[in-house]
Amino acid sequence: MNPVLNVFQRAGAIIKKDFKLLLRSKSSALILILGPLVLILLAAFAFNSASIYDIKISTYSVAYSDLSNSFVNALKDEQYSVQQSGNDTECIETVKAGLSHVCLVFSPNMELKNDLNNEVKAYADYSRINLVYMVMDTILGRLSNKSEELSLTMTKDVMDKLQLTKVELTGRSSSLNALSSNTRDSKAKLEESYTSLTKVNSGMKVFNTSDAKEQVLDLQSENNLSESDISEITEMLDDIQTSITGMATKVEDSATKLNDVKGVLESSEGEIENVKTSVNKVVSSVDSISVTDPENIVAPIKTSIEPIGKKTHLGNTFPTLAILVIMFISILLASTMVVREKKGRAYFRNFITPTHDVIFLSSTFLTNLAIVFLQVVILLGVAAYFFKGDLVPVLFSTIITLLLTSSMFILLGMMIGYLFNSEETAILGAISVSTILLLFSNAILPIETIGGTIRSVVSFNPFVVADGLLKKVMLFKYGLFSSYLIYVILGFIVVFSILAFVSREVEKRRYM
Amino acid sequence: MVEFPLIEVKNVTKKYKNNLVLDDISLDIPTGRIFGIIGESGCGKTTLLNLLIGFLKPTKGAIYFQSKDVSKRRRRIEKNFGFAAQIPSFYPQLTIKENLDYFGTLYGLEKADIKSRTKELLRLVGLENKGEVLGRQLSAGMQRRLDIACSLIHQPKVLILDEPTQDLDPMLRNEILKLIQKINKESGVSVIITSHILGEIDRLCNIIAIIKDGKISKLNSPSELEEEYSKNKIIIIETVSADYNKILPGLKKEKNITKIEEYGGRLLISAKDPKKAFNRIFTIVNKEKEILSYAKLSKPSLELVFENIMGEA
Repeated sequence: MNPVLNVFQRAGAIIKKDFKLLLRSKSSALILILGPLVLILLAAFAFNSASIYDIKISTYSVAYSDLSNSFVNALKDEQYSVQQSGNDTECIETVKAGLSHVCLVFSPNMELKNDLNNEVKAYADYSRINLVYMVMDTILGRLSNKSEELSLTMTKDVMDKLQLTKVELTGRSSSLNALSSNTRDSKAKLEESYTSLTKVNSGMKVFNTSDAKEQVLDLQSENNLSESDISEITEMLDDIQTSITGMATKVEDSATKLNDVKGVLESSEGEIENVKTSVNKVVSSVDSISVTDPENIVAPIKTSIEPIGKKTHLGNTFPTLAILVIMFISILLASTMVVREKKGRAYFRNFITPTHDVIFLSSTFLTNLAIVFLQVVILLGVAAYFFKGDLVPVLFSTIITLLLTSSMFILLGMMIGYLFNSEETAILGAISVSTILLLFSNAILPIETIGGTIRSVVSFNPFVVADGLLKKVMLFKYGLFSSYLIYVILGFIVVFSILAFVSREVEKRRYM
Repeated sequence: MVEFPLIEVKNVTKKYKNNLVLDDISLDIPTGRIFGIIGESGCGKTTLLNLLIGFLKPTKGAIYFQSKDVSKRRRRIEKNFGFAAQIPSFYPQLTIKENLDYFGTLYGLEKADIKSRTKELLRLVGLENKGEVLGRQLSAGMQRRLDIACSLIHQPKVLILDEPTQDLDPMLRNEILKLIQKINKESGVSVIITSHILGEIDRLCNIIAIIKDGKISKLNSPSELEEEYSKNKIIIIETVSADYNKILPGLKKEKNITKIEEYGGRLLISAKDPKKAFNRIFTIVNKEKEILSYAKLSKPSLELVFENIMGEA
């Protein structure tokens, strides 16, 4: 027979046998195949929401006000179960007793006034740190929204009034201009009148009836006018002289007054200019307020966290959940299968057949991979439900990532299986290794919280690496080879293959 | 024509760390025979078998199969061996046919060969109608037959059976022993069998090797072994009272008497010179005022021969 064909035939026989053994042991089949499916389905049903359910909040205030009641109503609107306590001790006790998750104590008669201390104290059980952060985040967010709402109303009022002032001032600015112009015109006209009056006054001042009298005397001598006529004329001339002198005085007086008015007008014009400048300054100052939207004044910098990827909890946690399921299935399945084979009656007969260890090793690996692949298909089915059309472009990369991840963990599980001598210890070993990988990952606490050297080591934790790669591929649509993580996984596969082979050889020597 | 041995064991020593299991053993195993290896539990029988198939490597010495060093050509030579261990080695969750098919494939047989061989073997081991029965559903005797069938699937030249009747009742034991004889006769395969039940060897083997303290103590045919030790005849006596406490101290003082055993209400007495011993026994019995109800001079069974060998200093 063709040696290559023979190798495949042998590997096929081993895989076929493994499947038969697995399926004929109903309890194993149930645990290994249905267990993970149930886990995935339960997780899918449980976490498929972005909402927070059944979080209870106790509240207390010596005197509830409209403001504190509005906070309470806001919390009720957010699906929280809110109950009011009789006093602050009772409120805190509900948290201790587990009857509520957070106790909120509001200052009495909370109102938005300058002299009031508006404080909201939150009491929470910090041992449930994740829940506390989630609840506090939501509550404080809600309270901050309410504060912002109030600030917004007030700021809007101020801004509206400012706007009104600006409009009024801008409207009055033309009146001022007109007033200024009128004043200027009046001043000019006054100047003209003053000049005319001054001229008239000057004319009047130089006006003298003595020449006229001399002329009258000449006329008397020439025409033999009577003295009485002359005297009458001379008196008339004196009266004229007196009237003109009186008029000149009055004109001078009027000119002085006009000059005074001119001075007043000049002063008014200056004042009008000053008012105009001030109005313009106020208007340009109001205009220069670049942020006029009250929302922007209340919260000049808006912060919001936008999820990159999915909006549901499961959507975001799906990659971690998938890797978690695959890790546990692969390590447990592989280690159990290896130990069962090792402890089985037929192990010795397998040992003495002329079949190379690599064929046994590869066949066990392929059997495990086939079973885990079934789980991967189901996982992808669940993923298709959550990711809908988003999954199609990354389907190939996702499958490859999941298969490589499965391979890595299967080989690790096989290694554990060869190292341990009983099914119980192998399962314990497998669970311990899986738990360590899980504990030192982002699934519990961010690995960034781990110090120095250990963090560097933990960043190469196979679980962390696989989780990172799947997130990049599924959520951020990275290409499979765009990240160095795939090379790390491939490296792990090579290392674990060698270690699994060495473990089998060590086990074989122990057997011999 | 000179018959070359099928297997030659030459000065083989096997140590597990500081524990010396086999000490400079040499023996030849002929072709087509049933070769028995006897020894007390833990004397190294299984180790010797594992060395023969190359599963273990000797600390010193070498083992040759048809003049080829087993440890150097294990992959090629192991095809010539079929091995049935003390505990039947097959998959209980697979049917008889599936087990044979699986192991046949691992031995590199073609599908057609496996099919014909399975049919042939099921007939040979008497499991013709049980092909579709799961291994775990078989009786202990049938499981042993299946194990032997699995060992023969690749038509080995040597069938090695490590205590094949262990844990079987006398009827099943006979059944398996007959099967071994049948296999040896019908297929001509050489059989190497270990046991600590000497009745099996007596009926079955052509040659017996007795291992004691890691060495081959005796290597002969059963009849020759029996002959060698038959001079040590045993005296069987029974008294009316069947209370031997009075006469035992006197008998134990006799230097001629090598061993005294109480079995089934009778005393089995081994002596170097049975005739002299007989006279002394009568004297002691009379002296203690006991009455003999039964006395017989008998040839020893192979069990006793074995016990004698094991008891020899």
